[in-house]
Amino acid sequence: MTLLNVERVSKSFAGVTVLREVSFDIQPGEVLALVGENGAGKSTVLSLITGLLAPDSGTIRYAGEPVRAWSPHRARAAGIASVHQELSLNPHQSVAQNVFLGAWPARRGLVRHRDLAARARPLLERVGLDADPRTPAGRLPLGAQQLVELAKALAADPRLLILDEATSALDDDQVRAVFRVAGELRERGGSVVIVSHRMGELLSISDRLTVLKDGEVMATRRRAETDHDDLVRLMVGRELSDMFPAKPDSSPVEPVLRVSGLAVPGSRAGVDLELAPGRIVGLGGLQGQGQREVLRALFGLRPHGGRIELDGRPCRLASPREAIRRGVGYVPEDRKTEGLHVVRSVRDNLALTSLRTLAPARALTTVSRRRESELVGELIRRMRIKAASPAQEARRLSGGNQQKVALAKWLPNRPRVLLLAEPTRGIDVGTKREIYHLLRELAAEGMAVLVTSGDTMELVGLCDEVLVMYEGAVVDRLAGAELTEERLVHASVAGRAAAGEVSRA
Amino acid sequence: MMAALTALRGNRPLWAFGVLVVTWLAAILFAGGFDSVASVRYLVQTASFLGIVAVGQTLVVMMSGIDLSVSAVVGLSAVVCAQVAAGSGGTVAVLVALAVSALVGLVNAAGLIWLRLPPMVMTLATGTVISGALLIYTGGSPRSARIPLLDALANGSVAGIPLATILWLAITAVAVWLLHLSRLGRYAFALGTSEPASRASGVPVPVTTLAMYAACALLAGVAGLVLLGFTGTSSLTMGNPYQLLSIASVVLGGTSILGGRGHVLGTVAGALLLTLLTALLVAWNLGEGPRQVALGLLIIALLLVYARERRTT
Repeated sequence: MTLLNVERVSKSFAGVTVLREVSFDIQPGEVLALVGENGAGKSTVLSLITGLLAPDSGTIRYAGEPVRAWSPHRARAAGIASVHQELSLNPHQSVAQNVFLGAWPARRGLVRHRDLAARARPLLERVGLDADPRTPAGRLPLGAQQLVELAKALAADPRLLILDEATSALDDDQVRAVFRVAGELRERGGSVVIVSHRMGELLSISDRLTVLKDGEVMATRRRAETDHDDLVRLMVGRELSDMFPAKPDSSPVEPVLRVSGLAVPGSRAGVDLELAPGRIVGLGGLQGQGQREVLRALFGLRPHGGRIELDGRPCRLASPREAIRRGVGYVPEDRKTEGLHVVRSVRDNLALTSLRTLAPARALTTVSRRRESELVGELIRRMRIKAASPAQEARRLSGGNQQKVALAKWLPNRPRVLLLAEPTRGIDVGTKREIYHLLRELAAEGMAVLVTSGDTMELVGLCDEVLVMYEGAVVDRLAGAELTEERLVHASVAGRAAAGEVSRA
Repeated sequence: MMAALTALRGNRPLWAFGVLVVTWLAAILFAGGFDSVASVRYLVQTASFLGIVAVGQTLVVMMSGIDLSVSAVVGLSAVVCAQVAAGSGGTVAVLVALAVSALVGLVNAAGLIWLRLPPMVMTLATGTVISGALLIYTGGSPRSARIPLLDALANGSVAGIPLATILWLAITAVAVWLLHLSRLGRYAFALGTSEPASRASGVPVPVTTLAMYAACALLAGVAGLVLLGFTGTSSLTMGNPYQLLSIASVVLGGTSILGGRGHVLGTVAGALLLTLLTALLVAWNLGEGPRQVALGLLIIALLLVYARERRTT
């Protein structure tokens, strides 16, 4: 019997149709992937299934019964659990408390923390998380927190598990753990709906793939009948052969930024790296090996030791203001809290870093509205930011357009060094391509670019050189013909092997 | 058209003016004596004291801060001015009082920036310290003083408009420029919506915080001086009514208590509205107790109408 049946479901918001007669089904013992660009309607479909939204027309049947008065609470009670990209953990409570949130096992009304921890352990093991259930969830790295979310979903023993971009913050090992969980669930007759922008993952785990484009189902394919290019063609409606821009022949250039022995608290050794105009350097390796900390240190957001030279002169980057003044720009991985003022308008976001030029002289000067509008208009055009108007709030933009704003705001300052953390996380294929080409353009104009990414394909396709990090140190450097996905994955894992030997010795 | 209407509905400062007009009309219709020029003049004059404090409070709330030392600063400024005036004359006294007030704001900001204390705790603590210090300074019996300049400011009028009101409007005009047109104001709004994003965008957090808290305390000091001129006497508790009413004015004026959203002009409507409501309740001969209960309930009712915090989605 079909577990979930979505039949000719339509939904619109304020007159804008986001889903048009969408139909698909999920069988027991099946992994179904929902594929589509940002704004294709994937999240809306999932919200309908989990009871966050109700369809305007059409029906949803769950276990044969049409759902009525559906709500997140009822959906959960009926065995639907979901893990989203946005974390719902309480960072101050322990991992175990989070796993059983809302359903703490109690004895005579008292929750015993030892019980809680003991019950959480097997669940954490299942998701491959080696962490003490008593640590506060907020202390864990982002990827591990995502796994706690998964454990929390499993605690409810779901019949239908929804993974909504749940792997975007995970490294390859952790992704494998998630897939193992999905596989186990499938074997026991459960079902999984997975949404991800990483096409390779989807092709490896799912049994069928349903492609959405502009709120309509383009096709549902069995995995054996399709491949990457076929799916992208369905999603985008055209071929995307030139995903990555061509890399120029690199002749040696004098570096603009030279870093030696950069150490943040907790790292094992210092990081040496050189950034030169025209070059894109990547920081790779397993997730959470200090890549993010290096970027934050170079932007003055993190105390650090070591020597930093700009143009051959030593300098201290003690605060973001200082870093900005010296020509450094930073696009953080967490664009909703650090990259953007999400409740401010696109205009305010784009102008914030340029107020010095829009209102020259002292801080007590009037901001020129005319020059601001010109600047903002130019950035929106250049970056092809799709916003209803410059006055639209940044949170109303799609993820890809938000990322474009977070990047565009640095351009008027003409930074000489641009730091980007996970520049395309959770962004659709089309926008990814645009951002890759833009970064290459900026480099060609003389910018030095440093990128971190958990996506090996991205690092290999985009970067001139990739530094592989392990526990806060650079363990390998790959460039030219050596820079392949295989070598990169190998080096990331080899770093662990090497470090393991060191610690045994 | 629809979009314009939706935008209008979401414009909370405008709502504040709408509610003010409706309340005023209701007062004229259902309670006697609110339609005379004299009563209007009296209302706007009374509202000025609260209004000046509230404009300062707006600057701080917009940064998602709060200043709970304003009541103490109102008293501080008046007491210091009266005390100094006895020895050194009016002009010096006014300048000293304003300088001391601004200093309190700088201390508040310093506590937030360098000690990383939450604004509510820091400003409440400074307020308490000031109240205690004033008690010691005056030995419990503050002086009264007649300073011609302040007397004229508080009681005089030009073309029928009270000078205090003109001062309030002038201050508001400067605040509108500061918060909505200047670079510093942009930084304050940015800081009010997201501190991490502001830091990562190079917003000068210390400078902005210092400037806005100093301005807020300075305005509380100005209000204290005008009150001194109005009553001719200083007291340790003269600022007390303005503490929570200033915050209520800001919120009723449509500014989000969480910061980053709102307009200074809304606060003007908020202060007028609160003053009008108080006057109405007095006109209905309610005693002090029932009046406060009614005012509190009215504030809640109005907040429900248009100033609820949005749920983040």
